[in-house]
Amino acid sequence: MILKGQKRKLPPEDAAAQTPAEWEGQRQLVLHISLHKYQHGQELAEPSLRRSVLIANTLRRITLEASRAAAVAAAAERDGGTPAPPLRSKENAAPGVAAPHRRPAVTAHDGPPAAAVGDASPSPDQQQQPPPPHHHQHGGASGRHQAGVGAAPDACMEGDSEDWESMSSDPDFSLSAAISSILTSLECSIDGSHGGVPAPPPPPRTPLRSLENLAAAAAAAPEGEGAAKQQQQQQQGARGSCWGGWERAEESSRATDGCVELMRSSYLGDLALDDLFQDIDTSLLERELGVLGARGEGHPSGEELLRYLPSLSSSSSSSSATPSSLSFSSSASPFLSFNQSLWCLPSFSSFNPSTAPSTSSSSSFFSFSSPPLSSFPGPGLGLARDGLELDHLTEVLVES
Amino acid sequence: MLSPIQVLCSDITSLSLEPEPFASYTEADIISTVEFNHTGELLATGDKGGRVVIFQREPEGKTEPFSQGEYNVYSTFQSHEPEFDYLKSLEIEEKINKIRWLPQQNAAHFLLSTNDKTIKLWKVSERDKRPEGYNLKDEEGRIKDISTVTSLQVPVLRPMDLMVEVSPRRVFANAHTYHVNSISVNSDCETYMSADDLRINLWHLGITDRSFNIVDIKPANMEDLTEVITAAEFHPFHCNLFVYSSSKGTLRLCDMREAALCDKHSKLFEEPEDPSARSFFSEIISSVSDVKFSHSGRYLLTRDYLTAKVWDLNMENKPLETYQVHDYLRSKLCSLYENDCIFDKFECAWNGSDSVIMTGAYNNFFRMFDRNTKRDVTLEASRESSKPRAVLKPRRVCAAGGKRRKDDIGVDSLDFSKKILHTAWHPAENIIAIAATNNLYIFQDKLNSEMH
Repeated sequence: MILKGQKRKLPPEDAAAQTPAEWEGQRQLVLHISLHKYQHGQELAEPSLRRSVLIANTLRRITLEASRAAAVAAAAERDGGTPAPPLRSKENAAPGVAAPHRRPAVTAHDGPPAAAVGDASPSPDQQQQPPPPHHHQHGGASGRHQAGVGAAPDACMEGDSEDWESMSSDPDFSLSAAISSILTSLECSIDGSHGGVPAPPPPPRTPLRSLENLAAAAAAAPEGEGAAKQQQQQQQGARGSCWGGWERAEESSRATDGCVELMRSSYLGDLALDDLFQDIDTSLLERELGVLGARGEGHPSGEELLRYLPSLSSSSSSSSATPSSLSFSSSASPFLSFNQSLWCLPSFSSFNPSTAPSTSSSSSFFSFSSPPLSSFPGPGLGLARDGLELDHLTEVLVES
Repeated sequence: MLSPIQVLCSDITSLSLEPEPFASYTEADIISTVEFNHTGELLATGDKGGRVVIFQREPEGKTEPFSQGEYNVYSTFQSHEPEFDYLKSLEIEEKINKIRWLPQQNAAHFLLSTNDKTIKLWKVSERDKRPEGYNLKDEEGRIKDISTVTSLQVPVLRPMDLMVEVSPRRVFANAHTYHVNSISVNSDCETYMSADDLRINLWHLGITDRSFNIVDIKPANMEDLTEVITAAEFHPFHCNLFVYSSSKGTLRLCDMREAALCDKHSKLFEEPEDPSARSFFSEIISSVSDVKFSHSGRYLLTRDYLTAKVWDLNMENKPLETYQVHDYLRSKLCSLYENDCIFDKFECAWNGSDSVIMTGAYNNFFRMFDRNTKRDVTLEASRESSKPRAVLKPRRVCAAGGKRRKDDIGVDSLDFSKKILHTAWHPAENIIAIAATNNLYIFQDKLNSEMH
């Protein structure tokens, strides 16, 4: 928890007496502590929902204040009030409200800065072939989406992109999405998954190396739970494993320092991937499918993932397992099923390879993870738990 | 002027009041709840190991005016056992979260005890007579040889050594997905409620296979969860009213006559946040850890991390009185967040006449606030300072940089592992029970033994 080479001092906690730098320092400190707490919260002897909720709310509050500060800084830079900063703050300022719009807004905000970061980020991102295209595409998609939501993004984003300092607040936007997954995994642990299993030793979790290093703990818990729960047909488990597995897939193509990119791409990549794969040659499909089916425990790297994903899309479209619970139009079905396969892929990776041949396993995990619409597990869209998120996806698909 | 009358430690056999080198205790001995019954004659404690120990006050001796009733062990029993939920792969702790006594209606005493998931109704009864002189069996219970019976006798009841029998009468299980944090018996003596993090259920004491859900704050989407229920209590004499507190610092008074599901509150008690005192931890420290109705039913006492507040039921927008319990911790919130102390849930208590409130703090300190004189005192529950008949000396914590007197303790010297979370006040007299980790301290105000 030492901030990058600084000797850690506890800054004065009297808000009035703090300079902005001290405030920022404390903010970072509390942020790191909160993330660390969440990460290890599942290992507590007495997992407490109240404690987890309070930590999540604190994280939200920190990201809110950061966004406000960044927006103010950006507005100041531009020397002219756009309606964006207050609007953005307002959008983020409803933590307690069930506001589906909030999540898309948050993720949308990440798009253009992501693009900027993707451009500006140095060598660690060599392996990140998928993400930059993600980001560009995503920026476009999210731009459209932002228009739909009513945010005024672009001005703010550009301001952010110019300043790395304010860019450091971007992870916090992604953190809002992280928080949503925190709470989902909370439900997993309380409602009946496997959080805090003391007696049987937890199955060896595939460490999300970059995620855990960055204390982006939200991924770790559901991911671990997913590994343990693969045999149980519970949608929370599916949700957690879907989400966590998606993280796993992304992880191998990430640099350790890519907290920003990591969370952004993992949370938001889905939105762009359907755009990305529009014109992938599906002739790879049949050949690859069998390989994919056999890879029970495999964690495809980003590149492999991309190669396999188109194979899934065709097979899915041919399989009848399109969940009717998703009310997408049939014209969008290739992309629809592609997205499903995207979502379902992580759980697939945790499946026992010996149990089923590839096709049936792909359909089996469709049925595995096709609960009613309102609770469909959308992993990378850790946010995509409500119908409105899926409606948004429809909009994106149609536009693409 | 409080004097210790007893220090009862977890090792029940050695009720020595001499200060001893601090014996090691097991985690299971940590006291997790303390509750007097409605007359104050009985005091029940629950611990982390699932045991309940009931103390009974000895009647005052006439000869020695100062040997006012000590509390002796009346009964010990294992209330809850550790369980394992196979479906969810979760261990269910046997720690007793709350004990509540039922008003006494016959010779037996009844109490409710709960762990995270299951509530149990226990009957505590005495047996001090037994029948002797059966015709068909002898004193040991063996069947007599008929040929030896020459005459008939009527069995008579003869006194025997007092035996306290505790038996489980009801088990109220499988109604809570989340951890039960409160139970409260209704004034109608027929129903009670149990509250977990997201739901409150209403039970009938006689029916174990059914309960009614009266409050449900679980959002449709768990991602939207930002608030949990932290405590709940029925009004002391209006059987339709109850209050529950939340982690966001709000209190909701609900009327069960309004609707079957009381999600919509009748009154919402919330103090607006002080903008000058905002910090990252504002919400955490505003989380209400305990709520208690006054005996008069007019006021509410709440405890959040740094303060205790008295609310008037007729005024929702701000508390009537706010008492700073340990404001010197305000500058330490970040460290307390780091070591998790900021999540400690302190309880609070009224005295019998609602003139004094009490709550615990760190370093085995506890605080009492007189509402009328506005005076407050900090006392310590420790073996060294608790010799019998000694008078407890007020303690003072000096904030960093403040004037320091002898015997003051600095904020940085406080022991945050010694916390007094559970306290109880006798319903009629100035006797208090303080749970300090594995020790139970009972103090009495000798000079002012009656309420005023």
